[in-house]
Amino acid sequence: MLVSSDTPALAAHGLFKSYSSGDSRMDILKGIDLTARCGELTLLMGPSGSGKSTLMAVLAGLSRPDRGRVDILGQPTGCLGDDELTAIRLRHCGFIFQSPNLFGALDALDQVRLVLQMTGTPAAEIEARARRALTEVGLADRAHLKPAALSGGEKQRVAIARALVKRPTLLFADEPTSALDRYNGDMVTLILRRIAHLHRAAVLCVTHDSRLIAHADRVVTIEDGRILSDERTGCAPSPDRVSDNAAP
Amino acid sequence: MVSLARQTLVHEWKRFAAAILTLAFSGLLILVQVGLLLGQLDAFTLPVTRARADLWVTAANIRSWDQSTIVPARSEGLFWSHPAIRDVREMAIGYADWKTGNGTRQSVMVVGVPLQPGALAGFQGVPAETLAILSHPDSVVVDAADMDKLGAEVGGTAEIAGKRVTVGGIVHGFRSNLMPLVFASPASLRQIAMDGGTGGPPYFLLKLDPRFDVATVRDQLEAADTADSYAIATPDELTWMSARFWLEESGAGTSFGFSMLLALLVGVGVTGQTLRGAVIASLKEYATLRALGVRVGQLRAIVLEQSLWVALAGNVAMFAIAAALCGVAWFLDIPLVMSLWLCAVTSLFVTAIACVSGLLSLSVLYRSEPADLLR
Repeated sequence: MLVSSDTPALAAHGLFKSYSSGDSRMDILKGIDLTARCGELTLLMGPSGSGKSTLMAVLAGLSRPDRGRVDILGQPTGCLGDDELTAIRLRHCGFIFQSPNLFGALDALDQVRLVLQMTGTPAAEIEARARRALTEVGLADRAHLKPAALSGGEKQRVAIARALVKRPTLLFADEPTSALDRYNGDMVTLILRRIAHLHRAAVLCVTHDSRLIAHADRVVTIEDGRILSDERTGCAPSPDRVSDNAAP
Repeated sequence: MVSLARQTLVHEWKRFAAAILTLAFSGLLILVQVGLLLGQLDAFTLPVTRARADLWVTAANIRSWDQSTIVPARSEGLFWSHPAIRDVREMAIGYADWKTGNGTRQSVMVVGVPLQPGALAGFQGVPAETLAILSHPDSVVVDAADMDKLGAEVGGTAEIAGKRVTVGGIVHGFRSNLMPLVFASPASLRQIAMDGGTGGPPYFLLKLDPRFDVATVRDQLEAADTADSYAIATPDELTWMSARFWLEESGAGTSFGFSMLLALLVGVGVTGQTLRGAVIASLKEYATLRALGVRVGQLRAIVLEQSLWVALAGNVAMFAIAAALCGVAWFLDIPLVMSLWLCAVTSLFVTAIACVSGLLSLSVLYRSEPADLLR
């Protein structure tokens, strides 16, 4: 898809989302405006129940908002069907979840190859790209190991390799360091930052982990379904710095 | 090429072992049961399938080959008058009591083997030396597997319907499930049965000129019988008619149908649950793939591929066990027929069970919602 360099990777306007349970209704998102640009590591922070994971699901096209609009690389997603949304995710999005969710039967290399294979990558490219992705997360020498033989941090790095091997423009990470020790947490953080800065991806990371703030370009704090603050950290160089959103 | 389905099957073989064995035994239930049934049917119709006739003439309106009573003797001339007929022989069977000096008593079927040289002489599987034995007056032969049951020994004597006979030799592969077969010459049989030959024999065997079409000749000979005094059938037709009668009368058909249903239900039940369990165990992993843009259809293909691998493993296990059982059956002289089509149909049955199970387990795939991973 050809987009202008000014087009944000992700733009959300007036997002509302609520869940009903019996007669009660809970408003989770209460009018969120957010823009994410390529080349930035943006943290979405806030207390539990503030709506940050729901926001990420809506932004990534995994869940539909009750109201509001989400554009991915300038394309409105509200009018798209499930298959078209899946195709958008296939082309542009990578995901890293709190748990690595790796298949126990596959070694690290096959975990990454499987994604390429199932997303229609030409067979001749699969092996080299999968190995490159594993090298990028520092696991070139662990490619032959299955999840049972990998540490928690290594498994999360395989999950990152699986997400970045598609060369996504948008990378969504949900609490990627919460189950990791300090060393592995730092390593995952540095990898996310490198993906943003070197690969020019827009990285959105939901986290409680304050260690990440030092490496982020921008920290958006959410509370009670609204953006409370949106701050540049000033600690990480970013060529595409623009002021996007302000707290309501 | 990464095959998630195959690699998961190998990695989690313990999870799939129950399904594979269930499939194997579901298939075996069918395979062995039909094999035994075919063996029984073959044993039931031994004289029909082993005689060298192109056509069998029997009494009219019979439902099983052994029910034939009399074919009018005058019909023989009619058969000879047809240009396709090369040979015509009478054949008879008789039911009698067998008794030996050691006290063994047993009902037997005495089969009169056509001995006169020609295209209809003897039975397939009965060597010329045995036929020579039968040409001795009052000599009979029995199947080796029936020797103990009959209390017989080669060279020994026995009484059939009060007539003394000598067991002149043995044959192999003629063990019937009705009752032991005793082979005799037509003359010996007439003596045993005290049949004066009035009316006609129960069967005529016809040998045709190979240039003529068997079905056409059969139709013409049937049409010539205006009095409806006999029926004509090829050995295959007579065998099939007898088999159907036997299946209905013995209840074996119903019991077989019930077993097949049971095998189907147990197979689908256990295999379905196993495949479903395997999908549920990987729901988060599938949801992650969906988040990355993999379509549900592709995940469905993985589950169905997994059921095919399970079917393949089930088939291998089934045929391995079946081969062992065949060996045991052969050793114990149990009639078990494993034809190629039976193996093919059973293999398809097992594969179908696995595929149906795979389809049933697909419903849980829809629980793999990527958004759930973010809660």
